Amino acid sequence: MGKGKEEIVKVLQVVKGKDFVEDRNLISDGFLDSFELLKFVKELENQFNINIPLEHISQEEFNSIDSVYDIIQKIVDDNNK
Amino acid sequence: MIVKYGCVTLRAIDKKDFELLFYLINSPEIERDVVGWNFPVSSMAQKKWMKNFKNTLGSIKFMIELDNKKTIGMIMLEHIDWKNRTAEIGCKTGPFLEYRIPGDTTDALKGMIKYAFDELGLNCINGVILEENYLSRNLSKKVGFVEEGILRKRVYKNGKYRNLVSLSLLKEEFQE
Repeated sequence: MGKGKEEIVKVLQVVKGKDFVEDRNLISDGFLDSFELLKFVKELENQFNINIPLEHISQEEFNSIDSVYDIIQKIVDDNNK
Repeated sequence: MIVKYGCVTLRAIDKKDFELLFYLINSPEIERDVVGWNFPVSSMAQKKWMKNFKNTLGSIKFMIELDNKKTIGMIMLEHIDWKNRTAEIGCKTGPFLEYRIPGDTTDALKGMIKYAFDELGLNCINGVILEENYLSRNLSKKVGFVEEGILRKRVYKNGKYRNLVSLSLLKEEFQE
């Protein structure tokens, strides 16, 4: 797992207060509820110093560490253009 | 009467709810996850709807207000059938982390269900959820709803026909 993904997992564990098992999906497997998802987004924004627009906060895009990483990467890249 | 349950109060729609309701009905992010759909609603149309709105024997809508006095959404019973003692439940909340309290939507659902069973005398609360809406499906199961089956390709949304999951909760199954 790359550095960015490890940071995401750390944020997730802080939000949830327990370890995340990597082969679980964040939403469809019930690891996060709606309140925890919003809190996760807020913590990611703080950690990566970005703003995640509402249109990106979908259950599909937040269902895995990989897809969350892709969103963050895209936002960071857009900010650096 | 208002309904108090856990950290929420379910109360009537008021003038002060205009901005939240206007947002909830027009937000693409909200509509993406719910079964229903709307054409864009103007502020004039929304004000007119609010002016004429009242709860009826067939449809009851409550605002979800938290203990911190912030209002986060609306919850409703629709298609109330007094002979068969059934109703369809629906709920919309906004993504307002700064206001939200852990477990607020669970309390809102349980409060509405308790009201339906203990005050209105209903026997079965049912609902439908988009198959991909796992947040709502997981919340519903946590409250006690049982998934009954799939309604195939029942909703056209974001360029695709989508399945719905049909759920229900009987009075005898409900645990506060």
